[in-house]
Amino acid sequence: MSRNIDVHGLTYQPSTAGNPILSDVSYSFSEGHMTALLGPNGSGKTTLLRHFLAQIKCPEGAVLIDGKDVMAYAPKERSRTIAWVPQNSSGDSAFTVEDVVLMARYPYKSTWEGDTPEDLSVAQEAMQTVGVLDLRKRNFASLSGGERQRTLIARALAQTTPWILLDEPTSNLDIKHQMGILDLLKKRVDEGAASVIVVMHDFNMVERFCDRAILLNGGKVVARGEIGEVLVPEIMRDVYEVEFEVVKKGEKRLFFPVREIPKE
Amino acid sequence: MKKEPLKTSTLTMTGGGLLLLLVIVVVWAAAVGSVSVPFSQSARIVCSRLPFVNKEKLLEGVSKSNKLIIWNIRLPRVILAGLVGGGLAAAGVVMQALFRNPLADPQVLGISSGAAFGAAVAIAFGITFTVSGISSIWMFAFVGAMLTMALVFRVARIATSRSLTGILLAGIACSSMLTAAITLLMMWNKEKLEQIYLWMLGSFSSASWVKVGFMAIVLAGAMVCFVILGRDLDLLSFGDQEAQSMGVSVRKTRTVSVLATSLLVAAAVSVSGIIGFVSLIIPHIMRMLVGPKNRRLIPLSFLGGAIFMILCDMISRTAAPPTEIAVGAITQVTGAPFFLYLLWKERRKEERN
Repeated sequence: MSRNIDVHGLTYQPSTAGNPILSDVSYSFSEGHMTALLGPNGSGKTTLLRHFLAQIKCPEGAVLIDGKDVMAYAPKERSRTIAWVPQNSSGDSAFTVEDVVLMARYPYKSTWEGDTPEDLSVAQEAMQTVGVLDLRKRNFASLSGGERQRTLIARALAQTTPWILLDEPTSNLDIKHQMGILDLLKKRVDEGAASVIVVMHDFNMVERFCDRAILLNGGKVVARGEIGEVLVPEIMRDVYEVEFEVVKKGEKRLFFPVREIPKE
Repeated sequence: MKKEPLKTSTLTMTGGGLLLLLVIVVVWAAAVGSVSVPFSQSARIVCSRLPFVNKEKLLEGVSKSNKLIIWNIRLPRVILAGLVGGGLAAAGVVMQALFRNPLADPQVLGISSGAAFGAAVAIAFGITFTVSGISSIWMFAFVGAMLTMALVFRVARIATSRSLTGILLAGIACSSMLTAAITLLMMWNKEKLEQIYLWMLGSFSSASWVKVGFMAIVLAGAMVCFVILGRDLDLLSFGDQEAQSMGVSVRKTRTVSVLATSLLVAAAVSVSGIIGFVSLIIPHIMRMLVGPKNRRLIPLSFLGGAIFMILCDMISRTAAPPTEIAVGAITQVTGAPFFLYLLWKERRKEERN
């Protein structure tokens, strides 16, 4: 059986007075892809991710992860299926980087079980992969923004889930680390180790690394599918109110923002 | 990786050292008082109640009055002080973890004020009786604390669907309401003013084995909950959403730990009065020594809190005989400067790095 995250007619309206944050969103995220979740600020991207994590219970529509309603998962079972890299971590604790990464092994443990050699080696490998192994004895609170972000990515990798959700994982990273992180995620996808859904704002990076995209605007799905079907200058112009110029560079395209389109 | 074994041995040494210190402090505190008993005799009397010990041989040459003083008067008091101090410190760790705030303190839940109100009612209306070792003031204090706890949760649930901030705000509101009520009770019963005030300052002078037993049972239950939930509390330091994404049942963890903390604090305050600062300072000191992992921090804070409280109680009854100084005043007088010193030292360490 292939793995899927199926979104069926998801509508989310926290208060009856305001506009819905998500309205009738449907999409099937299938395994083996690195899917970009696109949209302007406030278009509902993070809210959609929060539904995947069962952080929001929704009266209308449903999210099925691998065929099972997300609300029906036991907490630990869900955490063995789906990992999450938040945009900003609220953690400001005295835990070391190693402690933080080891926390990801929680859903694999019974109450009294300590850290097994397997846990330690999974954590070590995850830290190595994102390049925070040297920082492992440092306090999480003392890290820079980029180091924290990489630690959280290492934590998500150590959770060894078939699905990884990332909310703007590269927002605090320099270009080298951006490339590094996206490259390693793509490698995971290509190896069949995990499927990735990632919120991003940089179209050139999306073009370079992702192979699927879904574009939200005002809580509605505007475009979805292959990158070429979503990153279309006309669609982007309508959604972002910015005009783009597209330059072909080998197989890939480059997107230059040319000018802002004034609102009528 | 080379540093790993060193860290484990530091932990064992801290734990072992504190345990040894606790035993010494218990025996010492039992020996010191208006009638001075030699340390060795005190140790022998304490040991005589252990199983598999030849009691007659051990107690040879110990006078009957010394035995009575230590066993019936001092030891219950010393052990009660230890249980209350340790319990408050452990509760402090859990509160700080739950609220993700280093200043969170069990008192903000309003439970202490509830206990004080119960005690004040019993004193002000002259309700004094004792049923099988349980005094009316103690009973009223515990019931007052439990009722306040129920009220706080009830209000919090109505107001903000049981969020932590809701509980905090409801606790603060109930607390100031009850403090006002206590003030009124004191104004209308000026002749009881001193007794109410002294109860609120905290004391172990009314300790008994019944109180020790009661406190020990509640404490054991709460500690089991705390240690089981220790790892969940670690993950909760990253906030509800992140903890949930890693598999923590956030609501269950919170409900159980808030209830266990409340019950523990209610029991502690009802047997001793309001003793501040232990629940704030001991967790901080222990965190500096052994790090933030709650499964070790909670038991070690218990040991630290117990030692600290026994010493403070010893000072309270020996510093200015025959009067006793309120133990709550001593915890603050000794604790606050030491705490400031630690903060200052910590700051300097950070600056050097």
